[in-house]
Amino acid sequence: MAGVGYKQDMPPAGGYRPMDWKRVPGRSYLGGIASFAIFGVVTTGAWMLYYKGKRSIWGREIEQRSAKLAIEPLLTAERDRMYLKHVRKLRDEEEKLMADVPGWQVGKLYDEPIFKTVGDDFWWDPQMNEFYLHNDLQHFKKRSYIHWIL
Amino acid sequence: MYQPRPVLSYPVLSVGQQPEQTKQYLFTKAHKLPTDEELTVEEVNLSSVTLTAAAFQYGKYCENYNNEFMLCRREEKDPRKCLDEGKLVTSCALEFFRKVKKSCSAELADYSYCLDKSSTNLDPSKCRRTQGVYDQCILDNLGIERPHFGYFSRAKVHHTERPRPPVLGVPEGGEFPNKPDGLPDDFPMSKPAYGNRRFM
Repeated sequence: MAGVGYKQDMPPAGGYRPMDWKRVPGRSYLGGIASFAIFGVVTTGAWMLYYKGKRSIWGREIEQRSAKLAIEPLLTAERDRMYLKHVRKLRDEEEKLMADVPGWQVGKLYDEPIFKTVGDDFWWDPQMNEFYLHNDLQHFKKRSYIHWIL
Repeated sequence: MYQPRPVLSYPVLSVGQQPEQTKQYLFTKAHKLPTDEELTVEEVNLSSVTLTAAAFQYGKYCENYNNEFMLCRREEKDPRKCLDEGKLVTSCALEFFRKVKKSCSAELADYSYCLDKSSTNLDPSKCRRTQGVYDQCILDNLGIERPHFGYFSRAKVHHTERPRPPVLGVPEGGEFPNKPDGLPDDFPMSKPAYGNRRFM
């Protein structure tokens, strides 16, 4: 064997140390009961804080809603008067526009009424396109929130 | 069997043919619409900020008129029939705001300015200090205490002298003549197949 020129690498004398194959568990700080207890305490506290904030938000919403409801009769009364003025204008406008059409009756298609089973003086709210019939089309679009599409 | 079509008094349009005029279905001459003179009253010429700022005391001051008007509006479902109530609402509001202008004009102006500028949605929680001054002024001069924050969100019972309007399709008194009689209490019944008759 002499004259090879290198030395074969071999295990140390007495062999390698034994291999670490045993499971080394981490140190446990909390048991199962304590974990659940902490979870319960934290969750309960978080819910209480959440509910506290939610209550104050609800209170503010109710206050604003109350203010709006308090002035609603005033706004509705004013709106009703404007609305009826416009409805009368629409009827007058239709009468003027269709004066030359023979057989035309205002508020009907020739002699065909919309409703047949209710009385003559029955109130219904006109459809939106009817209400804006003699207006600028842009007003109708803006009121129905489609002015940004068309 | 061939049935001749009924003769219509208006021209029937074929496919693709345009009518001479747009179809219009609005109110007929039989509808009683109030004239402009009946509809023109002095309106409350105030912005939404001022109205919102003064809403609680205004609502308390004109509570009876407001409840009467809203009840009329919901019962009748017809804006023409509640015009007088609406005019009372507006005149009461004018009276309230004139009183406020006489005694608490600066306080209301401060409070509404704060409401306008402190948030985007007129949040009153941002303006408690100016609101307190305004509330105290109203309490001292007009004697109206600010109701609690949910007062106007609550359901209210309102007594009115106005008769209840008839409901369309329901006979007078609310009793239908052909109402079926119920079974008498001692009607002989067979033994229930599955123990009781609660669900079947």
